[in-house]
Amino acid sequence: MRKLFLVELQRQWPIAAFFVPVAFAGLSFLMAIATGRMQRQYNVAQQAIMLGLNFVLPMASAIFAVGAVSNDVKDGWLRTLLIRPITRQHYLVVKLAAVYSSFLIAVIIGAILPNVVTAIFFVKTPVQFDLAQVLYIHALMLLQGFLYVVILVFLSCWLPGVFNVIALGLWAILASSISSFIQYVHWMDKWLVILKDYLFPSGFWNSIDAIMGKTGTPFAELAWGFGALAIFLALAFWSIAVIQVDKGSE
Amino acid sequence: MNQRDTTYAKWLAIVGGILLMVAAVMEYWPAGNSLEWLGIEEAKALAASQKKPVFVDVYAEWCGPCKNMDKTVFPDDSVQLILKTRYVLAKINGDDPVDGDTLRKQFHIKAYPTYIVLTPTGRERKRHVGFYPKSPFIQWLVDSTGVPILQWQELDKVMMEASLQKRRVMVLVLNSSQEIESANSMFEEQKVGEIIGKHLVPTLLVRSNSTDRTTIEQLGSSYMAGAMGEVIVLEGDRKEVGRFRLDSQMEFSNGAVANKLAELVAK
Repeated sequence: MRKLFLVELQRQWPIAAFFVPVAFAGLSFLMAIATGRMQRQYNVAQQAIMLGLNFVLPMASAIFAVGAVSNDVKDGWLRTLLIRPITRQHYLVVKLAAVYSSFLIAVIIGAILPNVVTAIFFVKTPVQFDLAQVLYIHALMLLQGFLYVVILVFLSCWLPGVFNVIALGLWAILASSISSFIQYVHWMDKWLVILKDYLFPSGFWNSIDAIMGKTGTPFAELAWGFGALAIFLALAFWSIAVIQVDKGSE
Repeated sequence: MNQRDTTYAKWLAIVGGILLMVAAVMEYWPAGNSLEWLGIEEAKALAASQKKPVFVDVYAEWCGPCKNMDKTVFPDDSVQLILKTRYVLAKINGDDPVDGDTLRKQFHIKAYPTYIVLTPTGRERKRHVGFYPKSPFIQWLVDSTGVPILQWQELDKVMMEASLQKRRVMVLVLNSSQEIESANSMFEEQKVGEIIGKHLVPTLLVRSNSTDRTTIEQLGSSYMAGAMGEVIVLEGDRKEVGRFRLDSQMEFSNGAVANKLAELVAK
């Protein structure tokens, strides 16, 4: 398993991929410094949301999980693995671990470090730093990232190439549009109003609102986040068990 | 484990399903205690004794966004927790046949819903007009950053203090409490603080605040479109030294307020 993980990690990082976190870091630095100059106070938690959650997180998960499984099926890599004593479930666990590790590296270099370094060295205005809040936000952000990775890996079992990323993007846009429509047109319908919060798995993201507002532990939002994570993991494990890899490979 | 084994998938689906049900039940279970809304006078009296700010919801029966807020934002646990613990709550029906008209005029209501936060002493702190989505509404409610200009004393006390200290009075007149945050940041500038500290005793009047309106009219300050308000400097006997218009551009031009104040102090 460890060997397989290292091989998968290596496959995630061709030379060109090294530019990804570096490019994120550069852009994040520019955004953080610009915000630091424009605002009277540099709020580290707010910046983590802006740089991490809104910018690096969706991009990094898309870049490292694009065609995660479908490309391995297409180029015969999965078939090669399965003729060894490796099960499909082991492959999925290792794949998720490798994609998520790459995502973590990109988020740390591309969003977390620029925020911290800017706060320490480049901001002249007062820095607002609440350690507990910052830690919670980063934990939730990384959980939301893991959820994206799991969804993309699941979609990649069924959709070729970049279509897993396109499908997730379209889903997010559609959910947001329907949610706005319900909010402003069908606000009298209690069940539609309930439904609109469940159109897109954003439980961890919603928990951040509660953490920023210091309104206690957001149990409902966390349950929604972990529930969605478990469901999509289930779908990913089920998908990897039933997809056709290659006749005679097992 | 064979290649087609779906045991993990089944267990994860069960756990996920349970968690989703828990989430749905927790989020939409009717709140144990609904919010306790008072009449405005009752709320002001309670706020003064409890030293809490007042959250005022001005609504109308026919208003769609008001109903939308009641259905989707106010039942939220976080919103309820903040409102219950940090505020005294008042609700005003702007169309009330008995006192709707008076209250609308008193609070300068132009549209529904209008949400106003009053200080424990009944002065308007901030307001928002229209539907407010949950997250920014929570931010707006919990925003408790220090606003020193709200600590400035009332005009009568300031006049007395000014004559005792042989200083001049600076009256900051704002058109609306929505301008308080921006004005505060202008007057927090070090240079401005130094001038005020040395030569002036400051006070704040807000045009949308019914208790300040008469005083503002007496000072000859009228509403200026496009401006945040104005600054008037008075002698101890209320004789005017001078005034200048305060606009939002000044917030971004370094030292603009300080220079204008210095001119008036030097007169």
